[in-house]
Amino acid sequence: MPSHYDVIIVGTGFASSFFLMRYLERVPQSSRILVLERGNEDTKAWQLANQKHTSIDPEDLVYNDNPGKEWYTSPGFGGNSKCWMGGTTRMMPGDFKLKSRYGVGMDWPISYDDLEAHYGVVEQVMLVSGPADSPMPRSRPVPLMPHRFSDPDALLKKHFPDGWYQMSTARASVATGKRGICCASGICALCPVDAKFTIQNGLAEIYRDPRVTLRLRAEAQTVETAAGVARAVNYLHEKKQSRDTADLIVLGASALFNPHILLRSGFTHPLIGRRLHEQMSVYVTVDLKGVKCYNGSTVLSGLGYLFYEGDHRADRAACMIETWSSPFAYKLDGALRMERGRWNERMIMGFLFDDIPSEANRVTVSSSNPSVANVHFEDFSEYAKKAADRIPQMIDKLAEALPIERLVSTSAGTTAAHIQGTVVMGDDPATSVVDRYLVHHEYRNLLVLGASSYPTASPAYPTLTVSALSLWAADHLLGGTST
Amino acid sequence: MMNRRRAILGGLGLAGVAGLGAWGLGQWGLHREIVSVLHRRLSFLKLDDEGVRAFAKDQTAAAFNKKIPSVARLRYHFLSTGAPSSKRFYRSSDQRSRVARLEDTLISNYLLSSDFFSNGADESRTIKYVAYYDPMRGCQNPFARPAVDPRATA
Repeated sequence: MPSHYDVIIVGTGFASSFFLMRYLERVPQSSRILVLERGNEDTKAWQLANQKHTSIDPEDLVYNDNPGKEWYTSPGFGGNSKCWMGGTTRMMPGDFKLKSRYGVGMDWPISYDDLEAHYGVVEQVMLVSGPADSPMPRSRPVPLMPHRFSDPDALLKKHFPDGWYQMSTARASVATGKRGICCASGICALCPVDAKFTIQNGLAEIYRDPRVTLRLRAEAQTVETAAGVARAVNYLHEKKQSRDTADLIVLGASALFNPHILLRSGFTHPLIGRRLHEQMSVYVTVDLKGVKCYNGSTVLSGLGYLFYEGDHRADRAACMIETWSSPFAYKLDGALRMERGRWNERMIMGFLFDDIPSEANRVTVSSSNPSVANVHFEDFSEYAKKAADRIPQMIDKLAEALPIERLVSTSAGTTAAHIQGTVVMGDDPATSVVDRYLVHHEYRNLLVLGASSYPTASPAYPTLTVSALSLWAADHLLGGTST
Repeated sequence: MMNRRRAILGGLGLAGVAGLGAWGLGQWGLHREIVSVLHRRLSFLKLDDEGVRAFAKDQTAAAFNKKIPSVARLRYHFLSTGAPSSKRFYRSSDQRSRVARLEDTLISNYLLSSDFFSNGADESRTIKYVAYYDPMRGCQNPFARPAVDPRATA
């Protein structure tokens, strides 16, 4: 027997959780909210015991036809908050106005100013650590004191005071009462001291609200529509077919599964699933003379904005640089220098470039198994690759501050672990699927949250913007402002 | 019929013994190689022989304890092998050979598992193996410094 709810939310990651947080603040106690989560509630204890962040193999849900390009995701309660590294950079004002400022890509339908207050709220909820100064305007200070620079970061800050900053991160720099303090273990996906914000350690209480029914192991399959209104969600729960109706339906199932659900539902906008993108990442290892590395207080200790904003964006991508401060971090092998007395005189940096999304890169529904999302990615844009080709010149610039002895290696990453695009936002229904408030252009009681709405990439980590967009969408829907 | 079954079972038994033998040989070979690499590459340091052997044993066990990859992961690796180079983004300019990089990682692992860095990377002391380096135990990065410098607040 189907039930009726005020709202059905699909997914329990950042996008859904920040929307739900704000929704619960504004609606009466009589409200009924159903949340559908495809995976299990893999607790932190379970994750540590099993040495993995999800009990579902993501590769069972996604068929990737390009093995050279990975898509990193974590199904289950809390979504990618389980496996993220905790980077919380804001986007720069220019990221929202790529077309009007630089004549490339497209503009977002909203501006930095629209999200500024929401960024501040999310930073407060996540207890973000960051610098007192900032490369972008901000109306409130960062909640927690900054992490400590590594020695090369300190040199870069001294030489480029307006170009180098402490990391903005949800990896705690001081005790927060709930989370441990980050100590740069370099295994953020399974942080052994639970230092980073996750939905499980930071927002789990909203799912225990009596108004909320959380249904785990519930795979949302289709959104049912009639007469221009989204009516119901059909889903598989514990292997049984179910259907519930609602006045409002909210998809927050990631940039892989938001379009997948819409396509399975028969939505036909030509852009659904298209413009899949993320940043192009390149890792650079250099040897330094007499400067000790890996001695910051967190795994990524510094952020470089030297090559971010500027007229070069008319020609090539912006770049954000991150400094790695752990000798053992993911694929960064051989991080120690095999020379007497110089073991940690080696520096690893990540260079992240924004990308101009291509419609050829897309998500579709598997014809053999509709529960599986097919992912097709051809290549990054020439815009991104052109910027990456300039890494040697960027290293030359950094060498003004750092005693760089030699470039050991550069290697392109197979994933930046940021999945974006696929249900693009915009003001024009012909060129976008959802509007500036993430409301579907045609079905006005259907919201599609998350990084799927991104019209273009930014070099910035996407999570803070994803979460701020959910508050922005909720405020528009319910009235009120971020406080 | 019986003879055929016996032959099959016998064959399986032999294959099992051969498999176990290969497994054991593999472990023994890897253990020996680790000890050799550490002594060769770190010849300018004083290594505690017993500790090196203990590390080699733990490193070998860690290598052989890796979980068997899922079918999906195997499929991914299989497809990756045949992917056209134009669709593979992971390219490295690293001039070290794959073996050299593996050795560097192994040596890093050994040094991080020892008392070397906690003794200020003193190259005149004999290096003692402490415990196999496992970042999952938390706060094992010997270079990391806390966000609040205790000396600054003392």
